[in-house]
Amino acid sequence: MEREKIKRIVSKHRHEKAAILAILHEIQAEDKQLETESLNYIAQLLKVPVANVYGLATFYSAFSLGRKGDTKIRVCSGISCHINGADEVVEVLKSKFNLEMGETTWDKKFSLEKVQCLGLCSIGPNVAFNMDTYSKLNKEKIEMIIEILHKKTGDSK
Amino acid sequence: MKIKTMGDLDKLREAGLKSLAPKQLKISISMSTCGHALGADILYHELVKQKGKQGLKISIGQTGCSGFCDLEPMALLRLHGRPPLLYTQMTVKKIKRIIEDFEEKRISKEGLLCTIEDPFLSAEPGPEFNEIPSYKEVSPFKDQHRRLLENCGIINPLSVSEYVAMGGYTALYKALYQMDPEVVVDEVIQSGLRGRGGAWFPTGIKWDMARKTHHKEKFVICNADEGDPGAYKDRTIMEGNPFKLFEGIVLAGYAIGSHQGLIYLREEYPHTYEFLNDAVYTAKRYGFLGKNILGSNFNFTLKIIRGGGSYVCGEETALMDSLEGEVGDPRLRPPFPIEKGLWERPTIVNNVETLANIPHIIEHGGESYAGIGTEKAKGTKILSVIGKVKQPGLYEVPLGTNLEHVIFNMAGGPLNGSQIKAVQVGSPFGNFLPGEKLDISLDPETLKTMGSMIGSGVIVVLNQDTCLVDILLHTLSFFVEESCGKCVPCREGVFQMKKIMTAIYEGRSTMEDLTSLHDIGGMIKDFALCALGGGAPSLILNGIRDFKKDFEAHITTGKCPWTS
Repeated sequence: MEREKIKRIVSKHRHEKAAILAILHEIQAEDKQLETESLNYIAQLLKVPVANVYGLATFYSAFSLGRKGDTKIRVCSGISCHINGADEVVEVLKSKFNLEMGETTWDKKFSLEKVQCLGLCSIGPNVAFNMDTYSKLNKEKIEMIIEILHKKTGDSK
Repeated sequence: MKIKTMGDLDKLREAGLKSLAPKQLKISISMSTCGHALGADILYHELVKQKGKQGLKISIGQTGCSGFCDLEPMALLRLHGRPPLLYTQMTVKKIKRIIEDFEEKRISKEGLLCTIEDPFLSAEPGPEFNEIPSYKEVSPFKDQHRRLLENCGIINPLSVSEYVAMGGYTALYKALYQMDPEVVVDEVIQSGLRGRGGAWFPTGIKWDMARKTHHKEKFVICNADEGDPGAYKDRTIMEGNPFKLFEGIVLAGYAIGSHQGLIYLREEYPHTYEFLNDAVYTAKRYGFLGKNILGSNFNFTLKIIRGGGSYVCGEETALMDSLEGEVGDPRLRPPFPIEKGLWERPTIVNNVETLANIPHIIEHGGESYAGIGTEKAKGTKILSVIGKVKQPGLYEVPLGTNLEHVIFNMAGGPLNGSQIKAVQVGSPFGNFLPGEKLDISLDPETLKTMGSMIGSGVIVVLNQDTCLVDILLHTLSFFVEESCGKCVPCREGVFQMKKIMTAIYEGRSTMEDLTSLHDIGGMIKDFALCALGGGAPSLILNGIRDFKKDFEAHITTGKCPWTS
């Protein structure tokens, strides 16, 4: 992200060190990653050691140093989804996008990751595509959703 | 308009009543995270389109999550002079038929679950309503005692007037004008309310200590980092009735002398984040937050802060680290947050469910609140009953309710007539109770004697088709991923346990591995820094003790008998 933009975000949060998570959230949402230069610049603006900012960016699972896909596919790994067949849904996602957990497609359109619990425990298995969550999934249903998605966004293999 | 007097509040109540008993048919669709996941937004937009196209004389509204997400999308039909009707698992087709039937003065039966009790209904509804079961008679609502969830799924969660019409903000008005802060604290002490986040510490005692600290700046933190897998009660409260939570938070601030509140919300709830911000905006606009609340001298601000996706940040000291812009590292206590909390200021950290109890306590008194529950645990508890049961969902029941009753009579028992193998109460820390030991009282004390815990109220039901080794391995993976890495016993020990458990699951192990699990587990239990690390091994060790057959089956056959 350009320095000017980072500066604007940091100023919006009044250069408060406590707002650093909020700052990182905003940058991550736009860049789909936290670049080293961004982290360095944030540290400089907030007058904190780079190691601190780097520590936060790697500790919290919401942030990532590597580029995530435009569509972040988050599979719920809560106990309820697990019992109700989440593994089967994961296998479909892996093979259809040719991804392992934590990876991003070459064209940066999709990334696949695990999320601890989406809080939809009576309608699992659940998968979130960015802000859209799909529930009561099984092999057939997730295949259908992916097909519709591919039609919308263009193929990604 | 800012509400400054009782008269203003009454006017708002009038507006809410009109909205709850509209002159023309109002169809409200449940639009929480779960509703969205099952197509509520499609339904809503289709309804809006149809209305415009056909000039339908209806209004369209929204409700929140009721706790029974598998019955979504729900639709609530309201019309002045008759009880509201609740429909479940709605589709565009079904909704169209409901409207057609309504125009021909019929009540559509497809998807109709029940009537909702309408406290404001003046006239007797027609005989056609007598045959429809009421909310209190029908599963999954029967036998519940919905004090906290009473409005969830029933009112528009973002309408403060509807909340006021249902009795909201009466408690705050009463406290600000008729009660000194210490009286508020006394009522909470008398109520016997204990922290619902899992630790069950007496809330009133915590508040009393915080009130007595002398500092200009104090904080109220609402812990909404609902991380226990299987729990979604806090999400339901926040999305179903956010003003009730806000009222509880402001009351907490008034009681301890704090003017700043923060809700620390988990990152995995993006819809809830937007939703709460909308609700804060509305509450400010009406003067339920901000300066001179309800025309009094009391000021209180509330901010919603998003977490970063870390389970350990649900632990109160790690949570405060996170709020300060640090990595979430559990600190050794003492000092406790009530002495040195956020930015070293006196701070109380309370769970969403705990705070949602406060308006009831202040409105009706601590003694009345304590009228239900057990000797040591008062009030109701929201249970998240999930897994292999017929009707999963949130069941709010008095503490001390029988577990077997909840699972069999309320949640419909195990799926497809299968047999219950084990039940985990207090996931992910609670131990598994064997299927034949379910005739117990649900309260922290009883569960403790069973070697388990009630925790945040998650009840995972497992039947004969589930492999305990698989479930334990899955839970262990959770602990490995969520270990913050600060102490060696947790970081390395739990990792090693997972390695051994994986070998057992895959059938590459011997009986000696069980001994290794014992040794490592014992070490972690004794030396881990916080409850997260300390809790992981006991689950495995008790699993080996109570479900040894499952382990032996893997070791002797060299595979998982359930999946192969």
